[in-house]
Amino acid sequence: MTRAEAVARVADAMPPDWLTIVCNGMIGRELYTHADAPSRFYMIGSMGLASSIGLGLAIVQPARTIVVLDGDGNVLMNMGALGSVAAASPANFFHVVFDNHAHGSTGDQCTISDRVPIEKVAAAAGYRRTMRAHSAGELDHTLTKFFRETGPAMLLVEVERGNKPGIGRVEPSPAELTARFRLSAIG
Amino acid sequence: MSPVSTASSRLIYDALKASGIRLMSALPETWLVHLVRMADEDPDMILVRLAKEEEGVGISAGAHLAGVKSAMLMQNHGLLASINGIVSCAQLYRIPLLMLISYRGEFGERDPWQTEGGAVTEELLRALRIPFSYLDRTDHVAHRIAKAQTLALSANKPVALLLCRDLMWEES
Repeated sequence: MTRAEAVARVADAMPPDWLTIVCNGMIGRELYTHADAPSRFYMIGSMGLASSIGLGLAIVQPARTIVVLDGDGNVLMNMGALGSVAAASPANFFHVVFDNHAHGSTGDQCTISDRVPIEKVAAAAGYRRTMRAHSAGELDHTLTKFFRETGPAMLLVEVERGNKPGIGRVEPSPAELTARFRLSAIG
Repeated sequence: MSPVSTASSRLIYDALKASGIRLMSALPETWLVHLVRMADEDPDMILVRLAKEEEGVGISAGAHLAGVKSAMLMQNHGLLASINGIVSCAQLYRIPLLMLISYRGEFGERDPWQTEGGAVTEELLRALRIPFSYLDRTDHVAHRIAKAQTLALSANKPVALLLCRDLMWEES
């Protein structure tokens, strides 16, 4: 399954009122192109920090569902955050990691996630539930229950390397993204 | 008894509360011991314990996105560890960020492992174009914290207050 296809499948399982933080790189561009919404906050810098932003949101907005869409390179860069999420243990925190064992936005240079199973690190840190989807069929099956049960939870999705040709860029400026997201989060 | 000033810590804590702070993220250091404890014991304050300071930038960003005012407590070496988050998240996305930074390594420092970070702290803040001021006397703590928060919210950007030895440490 391509990453763009996996991002689209996950996005289709998320109602637009859920608050979503997307890591920097191609994952955000793929989500933006497939299904943009004001409740979706795209990082274009500060690699690694999406999970921390999601944690801050989840703690102060316990009644909302918070989803972090992340990549293997991003998680590896801020791995301590897995412990911080587990320790704070927000029940509304759902972490989806698209894992292609590569830095896909910069030319597919290898990460170390082929040897470091990220969902097992999260489980050991104390996430309540962790899962791994190996295929599109498995992803669809897993998604039906992943978002229904209590977090913090991680779903690692194995995806192929490579980028979809002609994928768009996130158009709103960072300040615009902040302003529109705040409107949908505070409402 | 620790020579860290409980009275000064209380002044700082009360000023943060008066500024509407409802969430603090912290990585402990000696001078922050009372402040972290006060946050921990306060049922109206959310304390988030960090593994590394840069996470606190993200957590404050998340709180701001949900309309909650927050502050970060850290040592100046934690500022050094947070730089990309400050620049590429808080500054890029126009996130107000009140940072209380214990200023280790200034005049009077006895610990040699603090001196190098102390020597670069102010130049680093200037290079990052982060407005900053000092908390070094009890009589200006409350209004400097209030004014720092006012600027963070009007400018939508990070501001820093340096917690100094003369305020935080009760030994000469």
